[in-house]
Amino acid sequence: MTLRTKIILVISVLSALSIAALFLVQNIVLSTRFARLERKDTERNIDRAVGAVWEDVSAVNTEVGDWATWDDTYLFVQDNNNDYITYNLTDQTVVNIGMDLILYVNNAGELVHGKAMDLENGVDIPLPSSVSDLVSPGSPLIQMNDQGSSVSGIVALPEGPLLVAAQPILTSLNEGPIQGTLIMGRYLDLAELQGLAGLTRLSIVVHSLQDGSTPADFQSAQSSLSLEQPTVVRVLNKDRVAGYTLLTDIYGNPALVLRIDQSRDIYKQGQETIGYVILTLAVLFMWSGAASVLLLDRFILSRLSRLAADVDGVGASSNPAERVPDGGDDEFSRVAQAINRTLSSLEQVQHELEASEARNRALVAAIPDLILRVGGDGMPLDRGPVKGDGVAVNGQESPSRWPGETSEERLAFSAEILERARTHVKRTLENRETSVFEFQSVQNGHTCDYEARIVASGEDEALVIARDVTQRKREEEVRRRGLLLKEVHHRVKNNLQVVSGLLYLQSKRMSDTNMVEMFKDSSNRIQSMSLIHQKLYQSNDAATIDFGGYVRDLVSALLPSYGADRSVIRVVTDIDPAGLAMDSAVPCGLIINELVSNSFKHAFPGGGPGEVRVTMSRHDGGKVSLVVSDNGIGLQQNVDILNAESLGLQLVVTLVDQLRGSITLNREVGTKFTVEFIEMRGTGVVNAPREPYEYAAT
Amino acid sequence: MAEARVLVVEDEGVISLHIQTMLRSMGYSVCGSASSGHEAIEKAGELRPDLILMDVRLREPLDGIEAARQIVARFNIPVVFVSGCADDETMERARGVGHFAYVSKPFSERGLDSAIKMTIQKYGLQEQRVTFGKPGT
Repeated sequence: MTLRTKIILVISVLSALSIAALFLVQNIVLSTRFARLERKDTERNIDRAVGAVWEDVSAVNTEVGDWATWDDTYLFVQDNNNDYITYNLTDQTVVNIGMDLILYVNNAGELVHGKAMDLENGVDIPLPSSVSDLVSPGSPLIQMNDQGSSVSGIVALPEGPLLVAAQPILTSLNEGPIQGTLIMGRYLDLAELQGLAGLTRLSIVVHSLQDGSTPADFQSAQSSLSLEQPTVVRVLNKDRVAGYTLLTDIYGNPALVLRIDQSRDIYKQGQETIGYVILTLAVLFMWSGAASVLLLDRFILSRLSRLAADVDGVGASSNPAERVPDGGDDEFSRVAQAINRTLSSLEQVQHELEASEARNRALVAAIPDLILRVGGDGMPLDRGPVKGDGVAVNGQESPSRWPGETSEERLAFSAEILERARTHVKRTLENRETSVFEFQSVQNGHTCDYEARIVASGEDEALVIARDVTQRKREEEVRRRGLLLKEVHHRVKNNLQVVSGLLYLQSKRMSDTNMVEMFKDSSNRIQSMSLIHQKLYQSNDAATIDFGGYVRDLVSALLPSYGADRSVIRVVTDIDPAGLAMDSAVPCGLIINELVSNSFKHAFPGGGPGEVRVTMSRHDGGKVSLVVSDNGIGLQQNVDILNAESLGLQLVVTLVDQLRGSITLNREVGTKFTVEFIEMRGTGVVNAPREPYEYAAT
Repeated sequence: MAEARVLVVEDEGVISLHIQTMLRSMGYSVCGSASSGHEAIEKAGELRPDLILMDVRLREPLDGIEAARQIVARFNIPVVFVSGCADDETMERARGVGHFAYVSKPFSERGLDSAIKMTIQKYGLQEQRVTFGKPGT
């Protein structure tokens, strides 16, 4: 429902409710007031009607006064003369004065004369029987105590209500003594009532309380009337209203009920007034409602619609710089300006978000790990970019599932791995702690190791980061094996040293010099092998040794063992910095041990001075040249190195053969052995000084 | 110089005997031997040698360098380390002990002798250190 429709609806409903409320209030208040006015008007008219009745009574009394204070009447009541009757009480006279009944009562209470008239027809009629009650001894009408006495009022007779008056009969000079009482009566009959109605312009009806045939409305009103509440007002119908009042007789008792009824003009005018007011208000509300809607529409709703359309336009636009028109200086312009400020802030935030997103994507793309965002049920929400040969196996897979859920991937990712991943996700979300597990997967025929880290990234989501740790695992394994190999070399070296120590200890218990020398030679040979293992233990890869360092340590140990004085015998070493693999190093070490030992023992019989030189160089094709030379007395000419008797030379030849190399002897200067062989195994390069090293005399 | 009293610490029995024999043939007095770090500390306190020949690699829990560190700290006895595993890390740890000389295996009588002599010359005999109260005096 649009705002316009709502406003029209609300204004209409409010107007209708207001009109209804006003109608009720007006109806209650005005109707009550008009009803009160109507009642008061009716009561006033009752008073007028009653006043007219009593004026009629007063007229009867006046007439009585005229006749009672008259010498003729004074005489008549005493003598009942016929003249009076003949001349004064003619029918026409009685008709003229409008009396239905005239009674002359003397002081003895005797009815001297009575006359009853049918005024309508103007004929004399017999006295009604009820006259006797009027003149009975107890009747107030004949209680004339002084000349000023007067009794008037109403008497309810069986013939009908009678307006009656009585005065003492006096002389024309209004002097006594009182000779009797003159009583006159006029029936309050229909004709009389019509007369009163004509005077008062009221519709007057009178009923005696003793009348058994009174109408229903009289009976109803009569039940409410009393001396304390002598008047009631009743609505007869929508057009007429009636007022009822009690009239008392000369005895002071309620005798008659007088009713006046009249048109309900006041009530009708009230109703019309209420109608006019309501109609006026309704028109006013409708007009003001319509004006309100028009004003709202013109100044607010249409502006609001335009603003909404402008905002929609901005929302639909692909241009982030699009803004809502915000000219003017009213509230809507300020709203538009506020929207534009918000849009600017949003644009700024959007730019920052995009930059942040780009950084994050670049970061994620740069990380060679699989990154998955998964929900609490372990199912992926989305995933990072697919990494080359990483866990994400192909680029077409849906982002809403784990890798390993297609038939191809299932070969690589077993159900067990996926189940473990889901278990860890669940645990991470429960404990809010990083969970790590490792698994193996076969990728392109190779077994790969992965380390998966699961980190809670939201209330019900986690990041799964799987890293290929195959290389690290391999390096760890190599390192572990290297450490193991080093330990083996260390133990072999120790064991060789134990053997060397045993030989040393044994030689200490020998007295034969040759035997001691043989033990020493053997001990040195073992030491040379032990030193190989020590260097291997100290090397980086436990497979290649720093052969230059080895040779220096070896000759350093041999020099004193043969009593050579380094101050006179100089030892020079020059070893290629590329190390030697173990398969070549052991025989080369033993060869150097034998040849250098020979030089120390035999080349300088007088103890020197002299020089022993050990060099090793590499040539193309993996060829290695080892040269051990001295500038001593030289090897005896008859010594054939290939068929030597000494164990040392035999060992050298055997070891050269083991290296599949060759050995040559040069006797030009001292002794110079050159051993050449092809190193079959790969060589490692060790960081050793290339500079020639010598045990120089210090 | 008086005959120096040496405590040999080596967990390999034959090598320990080798060293002891070598020391005696060179004229030193071997006052005792130990095959573990804890035993070395105990005998150092008990025998108060002038010098200790300490194998770096002893079986757990106390290796030679840690045992030497405690001996130096508690008894102020100079230590000559003997080992074949002279890698950089080991050398660094050995230097941290303070009293320090190093003989690399395999060693000759002459090499061992010169290392012992140099150490005693630097730090003096136990008797002198006790008399004068501080090393090297």
